[in-house]
This record gives sequence, structure tokens and C-alpha cells, in this order.
Amino acid sequence: MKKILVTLLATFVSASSLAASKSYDKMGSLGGNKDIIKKARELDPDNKVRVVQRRTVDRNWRLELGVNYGMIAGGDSYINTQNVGGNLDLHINPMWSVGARYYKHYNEFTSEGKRVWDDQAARANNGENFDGKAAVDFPLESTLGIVSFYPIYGKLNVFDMGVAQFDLYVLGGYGQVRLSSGTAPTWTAGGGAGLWLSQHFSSRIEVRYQNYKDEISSGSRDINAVVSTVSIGFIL
Amino acid sequence: MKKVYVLIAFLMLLLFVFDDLSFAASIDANLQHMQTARKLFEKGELDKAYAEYDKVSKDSDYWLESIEEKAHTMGRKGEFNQVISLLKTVTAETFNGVVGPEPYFVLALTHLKICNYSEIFNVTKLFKERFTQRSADLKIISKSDLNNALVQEMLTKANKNKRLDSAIVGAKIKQWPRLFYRDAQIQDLVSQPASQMRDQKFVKRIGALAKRELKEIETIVNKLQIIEADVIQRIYLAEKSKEKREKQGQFEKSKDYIQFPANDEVWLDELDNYAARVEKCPTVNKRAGL
Repeated sequence: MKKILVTLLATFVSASSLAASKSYDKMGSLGGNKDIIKKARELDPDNKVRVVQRRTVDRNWRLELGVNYGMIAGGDSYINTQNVGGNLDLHINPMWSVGARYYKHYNEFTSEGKRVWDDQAARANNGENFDGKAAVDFPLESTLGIVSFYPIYGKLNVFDMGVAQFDLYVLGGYGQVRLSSGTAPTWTAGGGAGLWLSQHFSSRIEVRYQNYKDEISSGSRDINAVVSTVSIGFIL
Repeated sequence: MKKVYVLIAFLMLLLFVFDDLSFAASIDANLQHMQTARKLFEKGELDKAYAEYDKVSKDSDYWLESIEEKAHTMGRKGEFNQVISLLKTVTAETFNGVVGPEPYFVLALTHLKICNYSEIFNVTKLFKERFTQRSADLKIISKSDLNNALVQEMLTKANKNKRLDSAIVGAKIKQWPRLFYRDAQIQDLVSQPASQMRDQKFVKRIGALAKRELKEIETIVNKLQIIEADVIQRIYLAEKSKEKREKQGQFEKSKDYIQFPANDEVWLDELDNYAARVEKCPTVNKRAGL
């Protein structure tokens, strides 16, 4: 009796194992006919699967207020200029926004500018009269009206903590710059990246070309500056 | 001062109890949605069933099942593009080991229904890659060996937490029978004090669940082989026909939506955000003739 029971048990166990190993063999035969797969590929229809997701931050008729910090390169060669200011953007839809930029400029001499100025001051103190005195004109404040177009979007994995969507945009604008010599019209064009951190917080990096005419003792000059700014914004 | 400490301790106890209750309440709500949706599905009220499945929250253990069953619902409606987009989430690498074999069969069957033959072979290839190792792991578990290191590890976790869920089971969930921690017998055993008898019952039940899943895998393998056999027959017929295919589904074009390629790289925010545009099987053009 015991032997029969042991035999039956062994048969049952091996049958279970056999069932498991049968499924391995059958699984191995799936997709085994390469010629059929090749023929199937020739009949491929035009099927597509894509990720389609709603923008995480709604930018239809929303106001964005921000503070910015930046620098100017390529302006007066004797002056280093930094800016602090504010942004205002009205997002009409995710592709377009209109807005304004305000910058308060903080200026200091470059090392070469300081050297030249000190040299001039020393020579003036010595009572020297000389031609070709260096002159500077520097910006004090700028105000610009801006139109931005956001044609490219993407997303970032932020330190594996979350996913933030961003847009690359181009902008153009016109406004006024107040210089140490007076005011002058200015225009700008450039681009940037806007990172939409949440429904209410954003961050931007902008690089733009700005042109205006300044005035020094020898006449007016065409200033071609590159302005780069970073900003943090709050979306209402 | 003593009264303050007693009050703080009482408030903390209330918070603890409330947290447990709210956890239990949220499980009940999601299970309720699933049960309601299934009843609606049985009655044939497919749109209402779909809406009910949509109410299952994303952090619930039932969420993945709800997507699978939404796919069944769409399949019944003949919305094959929706089935493909929903099962894209279910069959994502992220859920490998958590999802059973049936979605792969449903996906292959859907591709057969729209005569997308090469994609059927991609599905079977994916199925093979994912379930060969899983079958091997389940075979080990099915032997009901209490001395197995994996079993011992799980019993230690069960003894420590007095319950099991996906978070407690952890990364080794892929080596265990699917959703074994939701089995009523397992839940009952885990809540009991540790003992040799309890452990024996636990490992025996786990073994039974593993065998059941192996049987399920074998059934799906058989069904996939039938699909492949059908494909072979259809391919030879399809080669000769040049009829047009009707399109189904389209991608949202609104500015409020963004699109990315759906490739092997899966971003967590993309799950359950797939869309498919498909061409159905060729239809015969009827022409007037003398």
C-alpha cells in the first residue's frame, strides 16, 4: 500500500513538473518562424502609438510675475553691468505670450576701464592736456515690451523626484533704456527656456541681443549687447 | 505637565487610528469602484463601466487591474486603438512581474483583429522575455519548500509587519505569485502569531498560488500559439489583397496637449497617457459591374 501511495505521489509531482516544463518548451516555440515574421513585416500597416499627455501647467490666459538677475556682455568695453529686475508675462495660450521686462542696471569699471580712468585722473591732476580722453556711457534702467513664441517643448527628470515640463521660446521686443547720458530707444531679440515647476512656479533662462545708441563726448555709438538673465516666476 | 503628556499621547493615538481608518476607507472605495464597474460590464453598460474604472485612484493596488479591465471594455466596444493604448501601460517594463499573462494575450488578439501581424510577433517575443524567468521563479516557489531563503525572508517581513502589501514585499515581488498578498488565506495566516504550523500553511498556500499561475501561463501560451497559427494562414491571404484599411483613433492636436514618442524608455508620468492610431483590417471594396 505504501509503495502504491509513494508511486502515485511521485507521478503527481513529476506531472506538475512536466506541466511546468511543457510550458517552457511551448513558450520557446512562440515567434519561432522567421520567414513568417518577415512576411508579416512587409504587410505592416501605418499604426502609431505615442505618449499624449495634457500639459501639467495650464498656460491659457494666465499671468506670470517674476524677478530676474542677469548680466550684460558686449556693451561698453570699460563697464561691467549686472541687472536686477522684474518680468511680467501674460500667457495667451501655451504657444504665445506678451509681456514686459524691467531691469535696473548696476555698473562698475572693468579692470582695463579702471586702469584707463585712473590714468586719466592722474594725468589731469598733473595738469596734462591730452587728446583722446576715454569716455563711458552706461545703462541705468531698461523697460521693454516683449512678445514670446514657444514652439518647442520637452520635459526633464528632476533628480528622480519628479518630471518638469519646459518650453524653448524666441522673443522680440522694443522699449527704452535710460543711460547716464539720457534716454534712447532699444530693441531686442533672443530666446530662452521656461521651466514650469508647478501650477504656480516657473523658472526662466533668457539670452537676448539688445541694440541701442549711447552718447559719449565723441558722438553716438551703436551698442550691441548680449543680455543673459535667470528668473523665478509666480503664475497666478 | 503630566496631563499635557497624556493629552499628546491621546492625540497621537487618535491620529494613528484615523490614519489606519482612512487607509482602509480608501481601499474600500477603490474596491467598490472595481466591483461596480464589473457589474456594469456584465450588464453591457460599457461606457458607464469605463467611467467607474476611471475612478480608481492611481496609488491603489487595483489601479493596474482597472486599466486592464478598461482595455477589455474598449475591446468589447471595438475601440481597438484604445485597447492598444491602455495595454501599453499595463505591459510597460515598470510593471513586469506585477502583471499577469492575460494582457499579452488580449494585446496579441487585438492586433490580430486589426490585422497588424508583425506586432503580434513583437508581443509574443515580449511575453517570452518576461515570462520565461518568471515561470522558473514560480516553479521554485511551487515546491512549497519552507527552507527556501525567499520564503524565509517573506515570513520575516510578515512577522514584523503583521500584514503584507506591495510596499512591504518590495522589489522581489516579481519572484512571487501575482498579488499573493491580497489572497484571503495569506492575509489571515499573516495576521496569526508565528508558529511552525502557521509557516507550513503559508508555504503550502503560496505553492498552490504559484501552481495556479503556472497553469495560467501555460493556458496563455497555448492561446498565443493559436493566434500565431491563425496569423500564418492570414498572411498568405493578405499578401494577395490590396484593399484599403480604415483608420481608427487620432492624436489630440490641441495646444494643451504634448506628444512624445512611445519607445522602450518609460517615464512614470507617461503611464496611462498613451494613444494609438491604427489601421483596421482591409475591407473588400464592392464595385458595380455588369
